[in-house]
Amino acid sequence: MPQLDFSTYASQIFWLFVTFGLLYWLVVKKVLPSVGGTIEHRRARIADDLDEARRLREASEKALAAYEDTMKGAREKAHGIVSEHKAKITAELEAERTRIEAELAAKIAEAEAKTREAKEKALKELDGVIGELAGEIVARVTGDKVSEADLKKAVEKVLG
Amino acid sequence: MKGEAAHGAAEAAGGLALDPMHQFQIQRIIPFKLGGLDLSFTNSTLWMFIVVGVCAAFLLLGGSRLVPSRWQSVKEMTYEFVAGMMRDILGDSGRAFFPFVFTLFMFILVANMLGMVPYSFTVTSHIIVTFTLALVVFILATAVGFVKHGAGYLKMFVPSGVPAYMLPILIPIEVISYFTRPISLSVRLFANMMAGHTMLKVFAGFVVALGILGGWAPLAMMVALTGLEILVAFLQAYVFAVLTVIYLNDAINMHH
Repeated sequence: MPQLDFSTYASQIFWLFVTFGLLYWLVVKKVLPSVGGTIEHRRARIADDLDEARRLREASEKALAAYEDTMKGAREKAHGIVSEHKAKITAELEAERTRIEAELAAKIAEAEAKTREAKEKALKELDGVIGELAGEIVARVTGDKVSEADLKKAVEKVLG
Repeated sequence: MKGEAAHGAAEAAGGLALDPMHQFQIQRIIPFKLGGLDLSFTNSTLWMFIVVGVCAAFLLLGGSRLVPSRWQSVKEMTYEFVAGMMRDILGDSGRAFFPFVFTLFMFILVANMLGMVPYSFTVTSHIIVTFTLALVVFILATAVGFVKHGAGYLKMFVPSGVPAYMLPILIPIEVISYFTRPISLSVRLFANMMAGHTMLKVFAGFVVALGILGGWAPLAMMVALTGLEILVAFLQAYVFAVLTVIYLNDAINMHH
């Protein structure tokens, strides 16, 4: 068995230490900084990116809340303006209506007074015409002359 | 002597080395002696450097972009795999040992995997290599235990909640189990690697011996075994790393 050939042991042990030491040195000096460093760097980068994403999400949530607040305020303000104007317009309309109604009522009253006056005047004129007509009729029928005063009295008696 | 003869006969017969242990042979490429020690540059040394080269290429190439490429993803998954395993067992207290455990895992994994390449040499199929690694782990864990807990680390060997009269029996058992750790750790890896490769070689020998007519059955078996061996190669690297972390955990947290 070549493994039990003691004459090769010194060489194997010596070169094992040399090569293993060389590899150990390479691992410590080169591999760990590069591989371990890359892994660490990547982990840190991912953690940073996650933090950044979290921060941005919080910021956007804040912006959204602010936007909603503003929108709510604006909506309330618009609502206020609309109802205010509505009330103002309603009041104006009401005032205008009452004014026109009053005007119309006055005109109606005036017209009614005029009508009544005309009617009375017409009636009075009719009284005179009726008296004359009655005197004429009496004169034709009886041939008598009836005085103006008597006629008037009679007419008034009939017409009430 | 007998093996040599058989080996020679096989080579003479078909020009093929059918000795399943031949693949574990250490050959000197550049002989080199320091003091009384033979520190020659061998095929094992060559493959150790290839292991380091493959590890370095895998871990250093492929970029380090924020959005990883496929290669980089595999690389980072390997890293996270070892880091996650350490975090699960050891918690955050053992971060300092991550480079060591990661190096150990990569070295053994790549050594095992490269061993699956035909005509390659499996560095981890030699008991002295796995034993040296296990001994480094053992000494490290023990040193960490004593640095962290001082003489209190010796309480490791005293099981809690046991009647006092049992202690004379239990303490030696604990001591023995503690000191056999590097042996079990190294033999597990070495035996798995050696057995797997020997078996593959034996079946490969059958394929050649049975020829084009009968060789299909052992060939099919070899395909299945190759799959199994790749699993074992990964699993043994993982087991070695996990046990290392468990020993470190015992030393650091001492909940025995």
